[in-house]
Amino acid sequence: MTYAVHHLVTLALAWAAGAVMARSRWSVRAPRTGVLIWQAVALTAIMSLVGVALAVGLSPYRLGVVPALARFAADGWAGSLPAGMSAGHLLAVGAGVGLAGWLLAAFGLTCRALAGLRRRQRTLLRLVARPDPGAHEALVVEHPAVAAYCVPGRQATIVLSTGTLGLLHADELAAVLAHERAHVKERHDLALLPFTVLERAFPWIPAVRLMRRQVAALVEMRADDRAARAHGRTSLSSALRRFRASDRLPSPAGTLGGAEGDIDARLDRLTTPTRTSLPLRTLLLSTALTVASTPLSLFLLPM
Amino acid sequence: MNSLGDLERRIMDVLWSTGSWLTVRDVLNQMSDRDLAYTTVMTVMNRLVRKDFLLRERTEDGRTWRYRPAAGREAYVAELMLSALSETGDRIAALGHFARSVTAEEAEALREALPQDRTRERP
Repeated sequence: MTYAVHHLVTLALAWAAGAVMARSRWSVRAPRTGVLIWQAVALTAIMSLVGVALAVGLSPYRLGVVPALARFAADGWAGSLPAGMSAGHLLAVGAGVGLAGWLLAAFGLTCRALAGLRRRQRTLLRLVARPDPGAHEALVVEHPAVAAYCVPGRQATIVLSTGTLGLLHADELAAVLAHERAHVKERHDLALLPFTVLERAFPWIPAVRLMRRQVAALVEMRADDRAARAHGRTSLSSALRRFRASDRLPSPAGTLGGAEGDIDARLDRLTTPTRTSLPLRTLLLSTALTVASTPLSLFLLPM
Repeated sequence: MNSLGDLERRIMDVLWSTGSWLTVRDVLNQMSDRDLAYTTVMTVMNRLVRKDFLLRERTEDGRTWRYRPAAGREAYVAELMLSALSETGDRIAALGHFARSVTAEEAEALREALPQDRTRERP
């Protein structure tokens, strides 16, 4: 039973850490650390959720989760479960395995959907986009709407619309391209992936959606930082202001919208830059990693 | 961009600008590149058929194929832009955005360009 209690404690810790993260302002100042901590929080929450169910269900074995699960599978195959194994225990094991399977399925489906969308983008780009004459290693799509984005992957592509080219001055465009290059180089698509998976697995939990949005915003800020370092805060923030000034696509019902608020937050931190001290970031990060590694060790350690 | 992809784009450009059924020979004649082999162009065009970007049918004499685009260029641009401008679910996760903005009229035009060409009857 101690395993289950441990998992419950780490689950509560992850929840508390998430609640603090959702409200705190410092992550805006150190977005990369913020993303890492969110990843630790999510990993911990999942591991301990699965862990609680399995630890309760497998408690008759008095073993760590993984060895107990192996023994349970062998016993189940042989048709001789231990006497202490009640229907309640079996139900808990089923819940744990089911949850893990559900998450794996969500992971697979998300990867497939994203790969499909990106493949279609690449195919269409190959047919209708042209290399940017300014040799900005970007592809240009002829359309008045304003869009600047990248298709991530091993052969990532940065895409600009002619609307964007018409909107921005040369220095602003350079900053925007640096922003996209940062997404590509640091594989921000992979940083976001676990949260997209979670949102697909648990679309009815508001906290999951909140987490995905926060990480998405932090990733943008991280890319902003790199762009500002290379091309100056002024160029980047004036590019952002131009984007905000153009009319926006009204968000369809049922979506979060609120991208305008995100742009405001990004502008705020560009105009009044502050940085969280390195010791503080180190402390936060090591705390997060400790919390995340606890359920992992609980899975593997025998009693 | 690889040369085969480049060739795909140039072939589509020829077909989009003519707007009628063309044979491989017609397309080849309209391309400025004299070094292109007939079979190369044919291979790429048949690949475009498999990918549903081109439609093909037998010519009247029944001996050669003729081709035309399955949809207009604007339809594909619209699809590209709509998924780039979308603020929902997987689409937003699939692409790393700097920012997006579009006027209401542009959004309307994009949506109109999409279904018309998608549902257009195939001859």
